[in-house]
Amino acid sequence: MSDQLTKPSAAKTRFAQRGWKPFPFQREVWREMAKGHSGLLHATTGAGKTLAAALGAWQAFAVDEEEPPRLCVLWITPMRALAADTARALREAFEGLAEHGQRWTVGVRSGDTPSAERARQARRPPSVLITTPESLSLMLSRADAREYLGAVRCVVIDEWHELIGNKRGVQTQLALARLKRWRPDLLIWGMSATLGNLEEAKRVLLGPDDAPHGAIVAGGLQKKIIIDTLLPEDFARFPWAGHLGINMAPQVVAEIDQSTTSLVFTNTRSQAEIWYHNLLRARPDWAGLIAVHHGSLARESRDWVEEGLKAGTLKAVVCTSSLDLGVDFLPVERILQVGSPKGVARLLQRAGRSGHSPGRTSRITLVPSHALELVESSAVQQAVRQGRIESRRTPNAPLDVLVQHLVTIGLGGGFRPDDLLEEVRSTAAYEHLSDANWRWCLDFVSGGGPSLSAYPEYRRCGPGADGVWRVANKQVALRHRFNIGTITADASVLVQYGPAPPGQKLGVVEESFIARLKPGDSFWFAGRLLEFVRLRELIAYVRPAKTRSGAVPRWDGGRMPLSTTLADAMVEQLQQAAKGRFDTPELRAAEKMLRLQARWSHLPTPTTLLAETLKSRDGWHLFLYPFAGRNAHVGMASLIAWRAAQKTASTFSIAVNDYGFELLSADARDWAALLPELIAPRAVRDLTGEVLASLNAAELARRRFRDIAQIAGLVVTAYPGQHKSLRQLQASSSLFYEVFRKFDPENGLLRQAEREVLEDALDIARLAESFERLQNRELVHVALKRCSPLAFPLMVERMRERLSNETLAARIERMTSQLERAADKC
Amino acid sequence: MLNSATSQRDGSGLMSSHEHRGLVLLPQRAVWRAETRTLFIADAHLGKAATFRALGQPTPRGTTRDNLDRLDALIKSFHPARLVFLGDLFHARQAHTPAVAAAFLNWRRRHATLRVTLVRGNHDRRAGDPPEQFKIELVDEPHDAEGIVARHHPLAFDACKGEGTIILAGHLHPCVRMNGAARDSLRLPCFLLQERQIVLPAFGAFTGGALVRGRGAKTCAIVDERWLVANQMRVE
Repeated sequence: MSDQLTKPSAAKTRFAQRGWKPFPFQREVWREMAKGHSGLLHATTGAGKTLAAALGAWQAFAVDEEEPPRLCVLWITPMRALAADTARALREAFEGLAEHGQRWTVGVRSGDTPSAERARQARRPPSVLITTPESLSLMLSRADAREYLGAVRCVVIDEWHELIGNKRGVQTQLALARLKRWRPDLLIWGMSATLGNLEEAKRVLLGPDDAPHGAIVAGGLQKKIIIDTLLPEDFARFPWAGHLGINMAPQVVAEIDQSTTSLVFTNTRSQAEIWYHNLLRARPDWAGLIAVHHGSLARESRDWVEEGLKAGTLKAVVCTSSLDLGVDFLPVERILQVGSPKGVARLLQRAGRSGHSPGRTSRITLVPSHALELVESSAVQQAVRQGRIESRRTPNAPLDVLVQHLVTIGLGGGFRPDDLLEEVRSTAAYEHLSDANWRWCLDFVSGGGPSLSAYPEYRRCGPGADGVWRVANKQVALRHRFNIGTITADASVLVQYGPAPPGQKLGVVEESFIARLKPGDSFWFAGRLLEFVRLRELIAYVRPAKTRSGAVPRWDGGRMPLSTTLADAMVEQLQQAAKGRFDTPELRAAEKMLRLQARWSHLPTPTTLLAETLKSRDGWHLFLYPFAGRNAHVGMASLIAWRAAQKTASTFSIAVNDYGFELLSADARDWAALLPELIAPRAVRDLTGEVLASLNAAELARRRFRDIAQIAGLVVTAYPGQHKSLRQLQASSSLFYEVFRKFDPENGLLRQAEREVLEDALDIARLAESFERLQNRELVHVALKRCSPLAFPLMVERMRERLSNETLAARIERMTSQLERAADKC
Repeated sequence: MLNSATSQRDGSGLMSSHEHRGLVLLPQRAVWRAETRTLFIADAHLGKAATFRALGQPTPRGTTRDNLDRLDALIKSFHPARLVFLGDLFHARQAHTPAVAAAFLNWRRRHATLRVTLVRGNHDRRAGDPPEQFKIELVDEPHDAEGIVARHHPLAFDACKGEGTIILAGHLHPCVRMNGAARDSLRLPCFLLQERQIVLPAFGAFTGGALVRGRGAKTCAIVDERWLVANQMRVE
């Protein structure tokens, strides 16, 4: 028997040996774990969360035996890159404890783990296994999953704030429900940065039934953060729109020069590539001292960059969210954020990447890429001062993840539907899963679909004579394990030097980008200028380019919307400006633009809704500024366009940004007269009808279907070097979308695509609320003579949604008659 | 008959058919040659959905039915003596399922007197030759179809300049993007007209398309089953 009284002192002794004193929050976690309580620990990074959970688990579960226990703790991390460093930290923590009791071993299991190591882990599991949500699902798909994972007493989930709001988090919720079924007294501890809704984060982590018994522990240490803005030198010529901010490069160079090590965050991978070569162009002597890091680069080059950061040999790294999380880079002194940080929590997370240890100061400097981002900078500082931080919510019952989970469990020992339903419904994500949707998922994996005869050749999983559902087909098993996960990607092409001799692998780009290149074309990738030689078997062979300029790949990542918290703070800043108060350096820098907006039009405020109309060469424009974030604007814009199209059939082009949206009509339209009816609120029931009707006319669902089809295993992702027979399976998801719509319109995944659009972009509840909010604001209409500073970025936006209820022929007719008119003028 | 494009035009700027060098381009994704009563079809990819299902991918039923129904409709309106498939008639080896075979055989029996030719394409090579009972004449490219060169893979643009026999080909599944006022934009399947070569759009119901690029190419886009627009925009 272990002695519960002496062990906590063992952990304290461990601290004392190193001359440390445990923080009160660490002792609180140890106490809660000793009592057998689960919980959520939130604190800033570098505050000692890892030690709190690791030593707590050891104290709760180490027994007086020589042999280390087998798979007692699962440690889930959202990032593979983090696993190795966590393993090092844990080994160090357990080392000194061996003299006080049981010796614990630590292992890592992720997509990078070699098969020999996996085999060793299967024979002799470590006491603590560090893994990712995807690898955990993969382990659940083993036939002996229960024997292997049934011994787990405690699960620690690192960076829970990164998982709660997405499908990887849903996958984690399902896995936790499975582990809890095997061991009802399982301890679950989540570690999170500060969120606006901690209670809900705990509820999603522990499940609705168990959450009330869980603890929330706050890491006491408040880290000091300095936020400032790099102001443009020439305010007058600072652009109204754009996203690169390259004109700020000389100032960024000067800032980097002054600090030992800096991270330069950009919002997209293309932007990172562009900034990297612009910095190098400004300072050729920094070759080898600065580097680029993003998710599409080869593992080896990312490792090299990360090692350089740890060792302090790099002066600066231009990166994307790929370095948002994880590994502590102690030498990093300074963060520069190019463009909008999009949210308060994200800004704080990135700021925390500098001064990364208890007691040190973090410093983040915002580099605005256009004038409105100056206002954003001012707003984000205000929000931080007031402690306003975003909330994150779990996705609601996504069927694609559930379909994947059914096949996973079918492989991992099988299931009885009633038992599994109860287990699935114990998660926050699926607590309201309807019987109909559950039956649809079962039908779908067993070869059903709407009618059981729809897919006779196709059967992934089904009931045996004993009533237990299992996967019979080896091919299905293989392919399912290959595709497990909820991170979706376009067909990707490996970029490699070659072809003869085949050289270094540099990373991956989307197939659609390579498809646009001709042999001999140059492009920037991994910070190098490359010449495209040829494409073979999903490998793009390249060599160093002889030219001096090239294209930059675009990766089709979703653009993150501005958070509502930050958008609200921004309108408050604009109200200050409307009152003639320019109190912050950022507002003063934007003053000229803001005064121009006020003179040509109006400044939006929390109590007004600004609408601008304009007739241009392109057509009749309506600009509306609800400041509700990109996603919500897509929904509002589609709905308003749909309402406008009810009187006469027409086609609208829609542009959105985080501040507002534009509807553009080719036909004459008196927007001012239509507006009150277009933004009128409706009862939720009527609103749902309108939104469903507008969906068919918009292109929204088709795009969403891409991800859903991939997660549910409908579309096979192409991998470099994959087996030939899989290639015959490649079809684009938009083709699938068309075929399903025509030949199987009742398909549940199609309905999910629509539902996700309804819930994310067209969240009915939020839409109803938004329309309600619009009503409470005073409508201010301005007929513009020329494009206003707020309207300009929308007018030049090229990424557009379309909504049309015209026939194809009518649209073509207009296109051709325009061509002819243009031709007549020649 | 090798005159330049002529077309029947109605008031809308859309046309029901389009004549090009003595051949009629049909919005039903086919080419009609009246003098020899021949219909040309490219890239039907029969059994593609069945292939997906056989490999474990759920794909709706009805695409092969749809393909054969559309072929029936074409035959009913043109009464061709000969039908030439310009490659990729069957998608893969797995496409030859009993259901697909039965549907095809049934279709073939209904048009027993029709002469049917398949110019082998890349997919046909993998799928293997169709069984004899399908009564398909099998040839390799280039095939001389009574004075028309029938191919699966199109020739490079430079090779189809100047005078000579007309070449019909498939393989590319060409599509074109059209842009209009108020930033409207559409992607449509199209015929690709390159000097004396015509690349047909894919006929199959379950086929995607690729945006065409290339020097000197003109396109002729299909709006839907009924309409065809020949604005002959230059690509690049």
